[in-house]
Amino acid sequence: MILKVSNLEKIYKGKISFKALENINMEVCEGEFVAIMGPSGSGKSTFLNTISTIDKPTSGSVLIAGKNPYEMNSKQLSTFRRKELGFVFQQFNLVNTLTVGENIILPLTLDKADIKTMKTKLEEISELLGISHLLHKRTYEISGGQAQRVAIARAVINEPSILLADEPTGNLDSKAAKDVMKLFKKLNESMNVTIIMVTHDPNIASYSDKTYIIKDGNIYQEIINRNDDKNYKREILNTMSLLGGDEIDII
Amino acid sequence: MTLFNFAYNNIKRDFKTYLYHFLSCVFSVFIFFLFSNLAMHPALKIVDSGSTIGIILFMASIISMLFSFVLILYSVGNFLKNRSKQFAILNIIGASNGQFNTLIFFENIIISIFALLIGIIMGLVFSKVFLMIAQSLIDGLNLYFYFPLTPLILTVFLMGGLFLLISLIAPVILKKKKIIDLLKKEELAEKNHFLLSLIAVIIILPITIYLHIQKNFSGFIYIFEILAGISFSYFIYNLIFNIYNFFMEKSGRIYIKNNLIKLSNFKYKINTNIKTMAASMILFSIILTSFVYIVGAPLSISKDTQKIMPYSYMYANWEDEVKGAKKAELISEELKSIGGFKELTISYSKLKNKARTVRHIILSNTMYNEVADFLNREKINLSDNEYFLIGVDGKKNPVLSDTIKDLISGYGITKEAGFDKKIISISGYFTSVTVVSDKNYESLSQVLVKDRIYAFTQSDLTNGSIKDLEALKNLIGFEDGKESLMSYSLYYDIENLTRRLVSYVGSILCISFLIGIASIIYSRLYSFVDEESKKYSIMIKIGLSKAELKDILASTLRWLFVLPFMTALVISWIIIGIINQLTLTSYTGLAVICSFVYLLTELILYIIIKRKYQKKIFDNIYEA
Repeated sequence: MILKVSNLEKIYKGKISFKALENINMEVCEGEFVAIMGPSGSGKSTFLNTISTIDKPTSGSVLIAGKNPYEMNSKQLSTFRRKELGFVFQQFNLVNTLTVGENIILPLTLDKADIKTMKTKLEEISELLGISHLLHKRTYEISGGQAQRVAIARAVINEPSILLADEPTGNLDSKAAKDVMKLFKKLNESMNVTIIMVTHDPNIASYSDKTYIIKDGNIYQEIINRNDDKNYKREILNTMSLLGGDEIDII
Repeated sequence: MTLFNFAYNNIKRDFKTYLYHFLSCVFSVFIFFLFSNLAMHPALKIVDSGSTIGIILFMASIISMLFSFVLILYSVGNFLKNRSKQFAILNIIGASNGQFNTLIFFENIIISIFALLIGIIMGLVFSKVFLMIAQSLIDGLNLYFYFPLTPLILTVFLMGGLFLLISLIAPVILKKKKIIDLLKKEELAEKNHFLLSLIAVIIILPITIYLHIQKNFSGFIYIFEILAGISFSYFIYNLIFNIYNFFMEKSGRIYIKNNLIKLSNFKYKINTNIKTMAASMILFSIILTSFVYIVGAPLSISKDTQKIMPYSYMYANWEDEVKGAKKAELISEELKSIGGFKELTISYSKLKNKARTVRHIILSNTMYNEVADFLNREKINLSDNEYFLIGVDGKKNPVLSDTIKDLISGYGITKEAGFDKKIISISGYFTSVTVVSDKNYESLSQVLVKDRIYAFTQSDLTNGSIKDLEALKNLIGFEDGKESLMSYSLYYDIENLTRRLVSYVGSILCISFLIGIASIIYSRLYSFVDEESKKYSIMIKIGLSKAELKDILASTLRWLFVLPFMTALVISWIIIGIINQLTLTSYTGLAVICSFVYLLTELILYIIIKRKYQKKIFDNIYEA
């Protein structure tokens, strides 16, 4: 078990307290590719943030590779992020003062890896993701799809336990989005990377092995791909339109 | 890639973000180098026996260092803020706190080293020019070019030390925001620290006032004065805005014209705005006040010197009357040949007093008229019951002391015929001077001690130097503690040198403060240009006109640039009013002229900045 979430709860305190997540339980095995879906405001991003050390849960526990990141001090936490987690965001979040290559090896730099290791790992990963020709470019010289591939390379160069992706295709056109999803699939299959991805797009979610649908802070449904891609996609679409309500309303 | 490479790349590839910080550093080094270059000039060692110059320049370097410290800290804070997103990314990738601190430390060190290098090179290049300016402003110095090795070493060590200190502090001021806030797409509105500023004022102000009442003038009081000034001005602007906002809301005027946009704009960045206003107000106050004195002090040197020393030379012998007369004769012989030479022996009667420096004296009407004639003043004619008072320090009006009152009332002298605050000897030589009629003087002098001083003058008072005074002293075989010989030129030279030097140093400091204001306001206006343009472009899409947008932008500038200036102008008038009571010359007239110049300059600057700022925002909106 690479991720075990039990009784996870997140309440935003304010003049009116708001319960964003309520009693969520989830288990993700090594090598699984999981998608989290839900209408806007359902809590899917909050869920990703609370399991990824970005936002602290109000109660419940999160175990990643058997360790609870919320019980760590700041030094342990940074090491944990470096070793166990890889992040991919909608806005790519590359460091604009660094070249593409430097962005990718940044986690190794923080890890004080030796230069030879950096070089070999950079070659391997950029080869795999098809960005070898971009390594000396600056971040503003590449396209959105390329930027996202660079971000993915940076996320997986340390061979993390989990790759966490928040709307990774949100800023991309459909062609680039497809390419990025193919990469995810490739990483998942060839490197056995565990992926947890938040998306609102059923087409994107259908690349995963399992989709959790979140509604009002609860897991509403769990849809599993039983080696039937078409059926899987249809099931996701149906559930989402049920939740979104648009199509049904017309009738 | 190492962290050092990372830091270096950050600076090299995103130099714009670091530019302001870098320029502040270079400028600080430059100013400090200029001061030490002047302070350690070999020519000064010869002229400056009393080390007045040394003290002034030392104070100036301290002020400039303190100012650099604040300015650099401010610009460090700014560039750290601009990079908060990068820090969030690093945080999430797993950079530890230690690695953050190291990165920021490296960046600071790299910038510091380049700043030291460029600042010193600039200092070397411009040192001749600045020495020439100093030479022309400060009379009688030969400030030739020399290779300033000691100033160079001093600058490297002291400014280097300052930079090192800042590099160590910088990671601490980086307030760690939560990653989740940094990753959000929308910027958050700033918090209003009204309560905090109120608490600061409540704590600091009473302590400062208490220290004043206690007359505790140790270093403490200055620190508290500065803190009080800062917290009070921060608080005041906060208060002003809140009251304004309150009335606009209550009266409903907030919904008229563009007021809603203007007010919400200000509120959105309230903390930065008020900080900018308070900082520029404080700097403006210093500049506006000092400028009056920078211009005024060198203008009135000879007038002021005459107020404390009315003669070219004054001689007095405290022990031997006969010897004194002989020595006075010698001095007279020596000075005779100088144009417009005049001499006068002023005889008077002195009250007995154990202390030699306490001299209550009585002067006869005739004697005073001779003095008045000598100094081109009005003569007087006293009746037997009248007395006339003469000033003793050149500043305050004379008052009749009780001792004298008791004495002369015994002779029926009770009516004051008037007074003249102009002195008849060097300032402070007499404790009090009272003129009575000749008849009364006859009787009074019977019970008092007879004494005299010798006054010598020439058509040009400033003629002569410290060397001439030394020569005269040698001639008469001057004995310390038994006699006194003073010269106008001694006082004039000291005053002249000090005032001109203070003016020179003060104007350089004022220029650095001005640059400080410029950088504070610039960084407030320009670091938010992208964010603001985005906001306004949305508003334009829903129907905001160009003219309205111009008006809104001008309003921002009025709050940030005009209001602090106006407050500072009022404050500087108050300060000048207070100082007027302490100085020999009144600076009110000059202050009026200066105020007109200030207002005109401010108006021109306001128009220029307004145009530039509006253009910048428009370019940004319509280009995007």
